[in-house]
Amino acid sequence: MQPVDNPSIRIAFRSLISLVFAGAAVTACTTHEYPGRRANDAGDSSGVSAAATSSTSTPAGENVTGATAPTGPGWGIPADGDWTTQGRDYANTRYSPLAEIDTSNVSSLRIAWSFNDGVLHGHEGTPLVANNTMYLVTPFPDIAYALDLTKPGAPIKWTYRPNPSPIAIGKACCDVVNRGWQLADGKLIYNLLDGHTVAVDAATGKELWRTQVYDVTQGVTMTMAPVIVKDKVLVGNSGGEMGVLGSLTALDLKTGKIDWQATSTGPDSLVKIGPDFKPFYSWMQGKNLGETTWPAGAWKNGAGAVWGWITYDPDLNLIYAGTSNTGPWNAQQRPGLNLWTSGVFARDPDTGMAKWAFVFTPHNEWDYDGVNENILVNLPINGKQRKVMVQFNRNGFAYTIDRATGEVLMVSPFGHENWASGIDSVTKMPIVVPEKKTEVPGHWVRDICPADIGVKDEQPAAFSPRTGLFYVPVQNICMDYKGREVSYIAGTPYWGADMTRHVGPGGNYGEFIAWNASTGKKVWGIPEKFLVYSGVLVTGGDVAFYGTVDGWFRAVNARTGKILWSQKLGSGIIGAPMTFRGPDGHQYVSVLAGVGGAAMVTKAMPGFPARGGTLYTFALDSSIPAQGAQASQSSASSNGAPAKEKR
Amino acid sequence: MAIHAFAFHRAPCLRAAAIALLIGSVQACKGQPELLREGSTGGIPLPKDSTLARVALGDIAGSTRNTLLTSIKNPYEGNTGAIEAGGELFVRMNCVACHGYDARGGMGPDLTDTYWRYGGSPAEIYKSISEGRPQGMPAWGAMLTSDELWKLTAYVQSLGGSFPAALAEQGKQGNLGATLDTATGVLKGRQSEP
Amino acid sequence: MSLPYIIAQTRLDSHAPSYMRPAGAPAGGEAVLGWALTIIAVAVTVVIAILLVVAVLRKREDPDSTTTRKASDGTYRVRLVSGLSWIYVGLAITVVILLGAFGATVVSLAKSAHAPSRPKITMDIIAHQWWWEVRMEDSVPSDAFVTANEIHVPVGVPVEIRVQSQDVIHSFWVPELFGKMDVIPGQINVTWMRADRSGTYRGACAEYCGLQHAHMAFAITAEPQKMYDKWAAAQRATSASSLPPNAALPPNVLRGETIFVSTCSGCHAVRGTNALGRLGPDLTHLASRQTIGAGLIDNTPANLMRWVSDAQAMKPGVLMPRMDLRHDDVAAVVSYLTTLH
Repeated sequence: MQPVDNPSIRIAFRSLISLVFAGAAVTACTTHEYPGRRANDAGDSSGVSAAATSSTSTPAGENVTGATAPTGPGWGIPADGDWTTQGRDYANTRYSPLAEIDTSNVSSLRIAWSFNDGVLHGHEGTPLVANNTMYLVTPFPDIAYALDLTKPGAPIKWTYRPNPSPIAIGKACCDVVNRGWQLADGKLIYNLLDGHTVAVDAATGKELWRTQVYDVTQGVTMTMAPVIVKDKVLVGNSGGEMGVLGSLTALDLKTGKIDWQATSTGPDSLVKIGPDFKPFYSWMQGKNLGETTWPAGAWKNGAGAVWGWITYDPDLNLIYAGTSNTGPWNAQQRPGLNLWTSGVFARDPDTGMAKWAFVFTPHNEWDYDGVNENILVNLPINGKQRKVMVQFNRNGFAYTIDRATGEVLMVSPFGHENWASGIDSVTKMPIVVPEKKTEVPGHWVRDICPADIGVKDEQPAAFSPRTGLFYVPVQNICMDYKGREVSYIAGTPYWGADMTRHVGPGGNYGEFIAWNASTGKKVWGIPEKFLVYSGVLVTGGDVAFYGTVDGWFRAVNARTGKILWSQKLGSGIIGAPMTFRGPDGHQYVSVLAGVGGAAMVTKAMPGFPARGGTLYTFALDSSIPAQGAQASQSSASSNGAPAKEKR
Repeated sequence: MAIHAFAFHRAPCLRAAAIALLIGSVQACKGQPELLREGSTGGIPLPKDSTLARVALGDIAGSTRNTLLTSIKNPYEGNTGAIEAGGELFVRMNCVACHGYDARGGMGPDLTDTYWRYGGSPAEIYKSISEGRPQGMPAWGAMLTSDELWKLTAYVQSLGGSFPAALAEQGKQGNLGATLDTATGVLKGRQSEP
Repeated sequence: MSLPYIIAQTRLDSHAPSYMRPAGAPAGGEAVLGWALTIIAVAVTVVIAILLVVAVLRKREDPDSTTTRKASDGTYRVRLVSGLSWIYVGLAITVVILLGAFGATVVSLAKSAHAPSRPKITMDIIAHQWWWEVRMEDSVPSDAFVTANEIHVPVGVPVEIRVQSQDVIHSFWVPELFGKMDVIPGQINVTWMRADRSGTYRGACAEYCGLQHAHMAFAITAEPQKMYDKWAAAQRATSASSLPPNAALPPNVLRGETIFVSTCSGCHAVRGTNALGRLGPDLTHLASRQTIGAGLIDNTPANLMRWVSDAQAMKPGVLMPRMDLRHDDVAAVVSYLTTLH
């Protein structure tokens, strides 16, 4: 064929070819397998300014999704002004009806008092308030403080020092955190890092019982917040990176004795699977799958640690507890689906017997745990009101699951992920992108999104029954991963992965979003330069509170996403804020600031804060007495004279 | 190649001769660091366990100086073959999982800085690995031979944070830690995390 | 200076394996091809040699002689004698044979590239310096098992072999059963085999991979299906099920187990105990193997004692160090190892 000599024809031809390719590229980029992506794209690429990109807003007073929080006496909801469990209620809404602080006045918030707990590790828990006393527990060495809110400056009422074993320091993968403590039956109950659970008299600080649940010398630790259901204290182990046998244990509330223990892997007898076990999907039906989906004996070090949040439905009498990643990370050593790691169990709290289970990431190759909180709401789907649980999973997908049967009703990505091209509509198994599989021995697999810490880690989201929206701290972080064969040596990590992490597209490590679980779409989002590793609080004043890893504590209009107030605190914020009504009748907001935990993966960022350990309590400017009056009151009360009337 | 292999298997005397040649050449090269493979020791004498048992973790009560520590040198120090073998052990025995693939710390402390909670001289590092330490460092003395432990120590020494035996006393007095890192303005040797 | 290790013949060295005496496929087809080409080549050589000799020895005719003939019409025809016809005939024969041999080669190699029927058994071979890790796969993951250096296969059943390396290039070769398959780090190569006769077939590493390349043997024992099933079931079992409960064991064996788990578990695994190391061969059923050190020495208690004390002396450069164990500790460990059937 003769070459084309005419220049104009050549140009025209090349332009046509370019147009064809451009058209193909545009088509490819905008074709998706699930709805809602386009709206999310607009939000993700909005740069690193702190302003919200609000495409829609929720008109005042309107619940846009029809989602409601469960209510009723069995749901563990305390008095309006109290906060007695980490999630505030069994559904873990982290919603408080207090409305003195609202969108019109939150900008006048300032520090009422602060308290330094003397410990400089990651502070991942939330303070509790009951009987005008605030309770908090430090990271290792797990010291408990009770603060007297009736006195100015909230002085220490009592201190409890449990002296846990320092061996635990070297066995905790992700900082020596304590993720929460609970109040029940007049006791403050929490876990020590070294595998003990303690119950302390809430009034006096005296130890009531102390139970060793796990053996720290074998690499097992405890970091999670126990949940008390009826007469049982539910605790789970940590050690997904240590090749432990993951399990959930129930202790007797009065005596602390171990009542039952259900493992996350192994034969049905250990996992507590019986004739009542009815998983919704066929690939989870069968005998002893916790054993047969592993190489022989590998289930004993398969992890599935139960280190996350536990929620409870009193009407169905089911607890929901997720299981961690699979051990070891190097997936080539463990062919099979590796049940029941990276999943969630619904169990009877009295016996521990499993009612159903769902595994989010079978044969997990990327450390996407299943332990994130399962928030219980009632949601209209296809016109019918369904009782569901919503989990924002590490793997980047938000699952809406029928909490009675385990059926996945909706699933869509809530942040940037590229390891799966979607979720199979029948089996609900992820459709893995072959290039992102990490099973290749000794090869670097590049740019897997999200990184191991996921699109959301343990930092808990919140749900507002007023707006019907979820408020979710989202991560935008990717990794390069190289697997290698690893031996299990008890007490050492059972890992087998070399990793580097980098920020995802857009350059912002974090984002705070509002999520509509009925449509599976983001409503608005606030990108943040640093990770958003804090939990979320949302209130009856339609204000949502969250914090960043570089220490900014923000209040946001829960309907529009507009930032109404920001305060820089002494260290990064990785715990969830809470709110309570003080003895003076005013609303206060408290949060712990002390960076650590898994947020340390970004510690090389310029401007990354130093460690801290301070509790900050905020109130409206009008609620806080003037300086002079406060000082005179404190000196008067130290002389034994009654405190003067506040002006 | 196929024919050679074929002949190898058919002719034991040929095989023996070739292997003898190989072994002979290995023996002749004894002492050269490049041939110190992970399994072999090269016949280098190692400090006795009984001597190491007398090394104190802290300073000694009374006015005597601790000379024992300064006299115990790592025979594999600077030996590139031993350092490489130690580096492989560092990966295979899961040290990388706690101390990081770059040894800059994670679950366990940074091994590249000059801050040593339990002493940074060769004998003290050897003992830390062999005996374990209270904040979760496992005791490897039962599982690894003293040869492997000294190779691991040589690897840790090669990371730049430790100090040689002759400076053990200086190290205990904190005179080796305080150098300023002009890039960050941070004192090199101060542990970055409490 | 004496040689620092033992050169010994083991039970595996009863005969030298030859690829010209196959015991299964694809070696069988390749051996047939090999013999056929050899025979053709030998035959051609012999024929040419004979012809050459004949040509050299045969008396040459007088150049002036011709053969005359009287034709029917009275004229005389002269016939020249030439050898051209020999060339035509020879060319024709060799072309036919060449094309036939080429066709046979292509067909034979194509046949031996893939198993004739879908292999029911898959074997993953991971080559290390200087031993072979074997994982026998199964559709139920918990029925898969791991062993090292010696395996059994059922007679007449095709087996798929997937080879990969943890370190350098090796080559997997069992001459009586299949040809060499290079084992290259970073990729998985696939070959297959089918043993047609019962017996033990010795293999070796066929690509120089370091100091002990010559001591990296492998053994495949082919046996009837029922015996294979029994062997596989035994290999699947954890050691706990093969040993009596702890109280019934002699104290030396118990002590050996304790020492093993505290000292050897960093590298070795015995399923059913807390020893789960992956750097060295799986020892769960060590006592069922004929040799140790990848075909280096017979698996006897005396050899085990020598190996556990100082493997370096027997196989210099191997990953297993010279252990710091006392003699009676070594004896205890060996007494434990000999119970691992």
